[in-house]
Amino acid sequence: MFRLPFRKKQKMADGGIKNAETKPDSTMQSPDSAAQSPDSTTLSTDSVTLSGFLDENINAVARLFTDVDILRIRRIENNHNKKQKYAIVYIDGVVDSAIMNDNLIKPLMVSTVQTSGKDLLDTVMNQIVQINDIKKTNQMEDIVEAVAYGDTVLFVDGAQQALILNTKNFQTRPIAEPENEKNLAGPREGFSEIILLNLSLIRRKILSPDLKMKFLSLGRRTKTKVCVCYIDGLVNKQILEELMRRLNQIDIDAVLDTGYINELIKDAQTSPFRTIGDTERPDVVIGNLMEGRIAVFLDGSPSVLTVPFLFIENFQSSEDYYVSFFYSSFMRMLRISGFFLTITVPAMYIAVVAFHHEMMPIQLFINIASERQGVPLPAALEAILMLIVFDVLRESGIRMPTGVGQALSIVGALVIGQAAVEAKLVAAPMIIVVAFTGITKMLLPKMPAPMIYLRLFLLILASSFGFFGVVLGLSCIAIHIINLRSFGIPQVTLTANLKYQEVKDTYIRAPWWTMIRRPRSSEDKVRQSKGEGGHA
Amino acid sequence: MRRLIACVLMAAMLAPLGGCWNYRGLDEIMIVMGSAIDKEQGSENYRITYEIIDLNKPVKAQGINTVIVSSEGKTKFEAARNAKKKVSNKLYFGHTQVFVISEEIARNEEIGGIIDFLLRDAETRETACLVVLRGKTAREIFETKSLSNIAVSNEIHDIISNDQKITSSTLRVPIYEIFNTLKSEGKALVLPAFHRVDNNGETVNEANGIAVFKEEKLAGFLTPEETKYFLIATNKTKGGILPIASEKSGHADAALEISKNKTKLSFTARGDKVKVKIKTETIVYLGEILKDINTTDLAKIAELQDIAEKKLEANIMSVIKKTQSEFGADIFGFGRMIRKKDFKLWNRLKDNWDEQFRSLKVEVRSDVKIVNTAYLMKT
Repeated sequence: MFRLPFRKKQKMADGGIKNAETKPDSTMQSPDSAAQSPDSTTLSTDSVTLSGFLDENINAVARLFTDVDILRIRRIENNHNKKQKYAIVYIDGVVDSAIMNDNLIKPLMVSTVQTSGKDLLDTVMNQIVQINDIKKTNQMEDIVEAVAYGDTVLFVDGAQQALILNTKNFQTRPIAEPENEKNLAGPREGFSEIILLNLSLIRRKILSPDLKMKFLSLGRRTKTKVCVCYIDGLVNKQILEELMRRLNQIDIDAVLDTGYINELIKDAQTSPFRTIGDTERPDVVIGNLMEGRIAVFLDGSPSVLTVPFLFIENFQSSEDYYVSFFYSSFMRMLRISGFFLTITVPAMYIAVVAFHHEMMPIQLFINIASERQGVPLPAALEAILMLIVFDVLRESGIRMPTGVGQALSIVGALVIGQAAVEAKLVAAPMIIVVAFTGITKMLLPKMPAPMIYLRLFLLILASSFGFFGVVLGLSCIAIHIINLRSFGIPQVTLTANLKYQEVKDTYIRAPWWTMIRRPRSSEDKVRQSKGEGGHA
Repeated sequence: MRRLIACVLMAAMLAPLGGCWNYRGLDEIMIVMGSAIDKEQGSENYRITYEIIDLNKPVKAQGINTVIVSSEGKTKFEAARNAKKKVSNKLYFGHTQVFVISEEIARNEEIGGIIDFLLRDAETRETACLVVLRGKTAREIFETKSLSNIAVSNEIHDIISNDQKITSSTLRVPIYEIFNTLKSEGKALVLPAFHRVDNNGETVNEANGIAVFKEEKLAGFLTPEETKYFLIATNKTKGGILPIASEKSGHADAALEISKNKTKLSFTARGDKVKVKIKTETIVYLGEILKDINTTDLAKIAELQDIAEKKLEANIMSVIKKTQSEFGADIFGFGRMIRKKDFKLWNRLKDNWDEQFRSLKVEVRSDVKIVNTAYLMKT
């Protein structure tokens, strides 16, 4: 059902907006009325069709691209028959000059094939031009989009249609391992910014024709290509429908990254937690596709969205599946405890130091008390300030030029750490708490937002109510997480609904030979049909 | 919006639900490690002396120092609060490990009245120990030197806590247990006793047996040696040395270290005449023997075991005799045992149990097993 002519819909929206300046009610009018609008300053491409005259067409294109100086229009004549006139239109820098010269301009000039009459365009297409991907069109809108995207448009004198020829040659970044998702084992590929390249990384690993890739375009002005990718037979149709519905509802002029889409279509829009996965690793996307999930690619963005998203995915890494399950199970539990530690440790520290003195062992108590002696700020305020200082250091570390790195670590470690303690501005245990919190946070690079806010939330509760506040805050967080849904799928499965097979890939990563079933949200739940036991 | 209001209301509910605790920074308290309770000579006032961690000297450089503060008051609780007059912050009793009372207070005042303010206070740990210091005043305990620990109070607490495993010379009695003992029938209270001794020119504290209480007042002391047999008889020992003579007659020339001990109490009654039986089973290691004997000779080991059994029986018997004749306080808990096993009999006995205890017939049977002799040989 999502084969609905999406373009038409976009067109309607387009016309509507352009008209909005003069006629705000015209959004529901047909594209034709939009094209006939008297607004002459903005040249509309809608439903402008080509005429049979070369000069007219060229002028029309040139008018549309007024002040676009990188547009090139090249006129060509056949040297055997001067009446055969052509013009190619392209944008400099995004086309492959070698292909243009050898396979397009040269055949057009030297061809001895006689072209005339009705089959004019077909003859050019089938017998002269040596380009792999050719499309016929008479819509000016298509022509504009194609030219902008690196294709070349060939106008033939006497033909009412033009040919769109594939001559794309983008400069792209090499396929490199993503910076923020480094693994020690497994594939090292990462997505880049070109959508077709990204799709090819998926396609060549899943050879089945069941792998479907549906294109849409988003953004009224950017017309960015979006690809919805899933495996027929595994995907849950309801989730797919819901995703398409939400994507079609997006009405924004520019989509520059999947982050835009993520925030526009996510459930629980005010929650800091992710309800849509995002990754730059093809192997992660493939793993998700094979569990019946849907991937959303966006041209120009190396990160790919996957839906639905489960809470436990925050703690999973693709490496888990490539190394020994003993090791990855341990790492899983470490990450989960890291999450709890990083949000609770400052709060626990404050609760113990300011409220529940009796909970500390005596020696530790005396040491901390002695360090606290003479520190001007109360412990709770100190904690909040130091956490902010840590985040300042971290953030400045991300964006600074490489050469400044050493200066920052000196300022961070020596000035803020050591000197502040020696000057009795900050207590040493607080530095340890903040450092520990910062390090445990690195266990989960994908969820920075919840961590910062939950940590402060618990910290403030702890400094007002002690452990009572911490427990209450944790209960609130638990309730929130349990209520989270991703496209109708609960993020956390409660024990009442728990199935044995589903626990195998959560706190631990069970060996592959025991994971015989897929998650319940997928259509076909059998992963290994032989049943348990592997090589029996 | 409704959710937001709900959240705000929930947060507002926290304030009254939070109980009575409040934010109190570590720099606003003075950590009391131990206190000594005395009664001023010739006045009604109590004088409490505290050992407080001195946080003004950096712990990193100088180790932990303590300061001694004392205060007076008409009641013990008032005296405790009056200390605020001398120091800047409120005293914090949450980590107090030891309360020391003088022999004089123990003899003249009811122990229940002494622990009352400790139990009522929310801060005090009920696992803290109450110690009787032999000598004139209790505060003298802080005028000694701590040999191995951060503070004198800590050291006393650790000496008491680890004693039963190594020497069995005293007994750890937490405050809550004092209360339980006082409120129940058929068992008299004992408390650890300390005295001050000279150690290479410095005065230090040493565990010195137990103080025996009769009807909440101090009746006398058991020496560390006697305490050991008392602990064996009450099934509380976890270690300790049994010195024996390897020959039937002669002085002690061998030492057995207790590894495990199990003691069972039982009684037989004929009418109201009760006879208590104590059966001890002790597993020991042979730790030292001066005479050259063949430890692989089972007959010789059996002989040693026999000597040890006889000796153990005699010693336990003499402790019981001493308690019966000198104190008349049932510190072994025979009464409690009878109450548990035969409530009707106990109801008949309890009114004059003290008298009964003085003339109670006790039979001790000991069983000693040497399991480890550490065979030494010339190579």
